[in-house]
This record gives sequence, structure tokens and C-alpha cells, in this order.
Amino acid sequence: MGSLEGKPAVAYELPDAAGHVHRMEDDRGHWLLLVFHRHLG
Amino acid sequence: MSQLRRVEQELESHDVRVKLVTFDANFLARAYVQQTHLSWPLLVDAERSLYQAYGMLRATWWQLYRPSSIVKYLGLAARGVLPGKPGEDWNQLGGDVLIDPAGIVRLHFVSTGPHDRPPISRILKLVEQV
Repeated sequence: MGSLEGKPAVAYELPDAAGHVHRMEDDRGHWLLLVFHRHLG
Repeated sequence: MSQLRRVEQELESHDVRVKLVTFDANFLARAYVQQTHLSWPLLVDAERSLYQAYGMLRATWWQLYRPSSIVKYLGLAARGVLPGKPGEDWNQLGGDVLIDPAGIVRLHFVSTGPHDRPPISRILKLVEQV
């Protein structure tokens, strides 16, 4: 896969550990850093 | 993660929201949040759809066990951070994606090894440039 820099972010809808659902649109208007973990170990 | 936590206030001052993403099961995610006193949301992507959408890689045997990785593991173990338990997926690698306020990807970093992460300074520089 090539770099996605300069392209629109991928929309998502995911629950957090507490069960609250997060959507990409929730953070529009703010910088967002998504940190993809390896296994939590 | 400790690198990120050290600049938590700086990230906040630049209006950077941080969300962690894991593919591990929800009960492991909850335990992780409790054990680490994590203040950022930990999103559970059990299907790995977001991992796949951003092209996060799976490690080869050599990437996991090459000498530089072993040295890192030993360093972590010396600080009390032990490797994962048997049965966990060690091959899934991570990465970092920085998205600007307009929803455009400004950094798309796909790790090529277990300890491969972008320098925090690179993330802060991107945020400060805009």
C-alpha cells in the first residue's frame, strides 16, 4: 500500500474499551493521532 | 507509548487528540487501560478493519527476532516490561496516523518492525507547521 498522506482519512466507527463508540467525524476540526498498537501484552 | 505520554501536555496544547487502537479483545483492552491508567481512549478494532485500511503490516520471523529487536526486548525486560503471553498475535505490527482538522492524513507511518515508530518530534513538527 502506498502512503495515504494528503488523502482523506479513512472513516471508522469503533468502540473503546469502555464501550463508547468513536467515529472519525467526532474529531473533525481537531488534530487526531491514531496510534495502532501491537498486541497489548 | 511512554514517549507519547511525555509530550501529552504539548500535544494537548496543539489541540491534538490521541486515540489508541488495538486488535486485542475487549477484556484485554479494559485490563490494559486499568493497569496503565491510560487517559486516552483505546479503540477496539477486533476485525482489524482500520489496521487493514491503513495498511498495517504483519511482521516476519526475522523482523521479530533479529538482533536489534532482541536487544530492544532485553532493554524493555530490564525496565520490567515483559513480552506478551503465548497465544497472542506477535506478528501484527502497528503504526501511527496523524490527521489534520480538515480530515486529511498528514502522517501515515506503517511500522516495519516491532519497535519502529516515528519520532515524536516529527509529529509535533507537522502540527506546528500548519
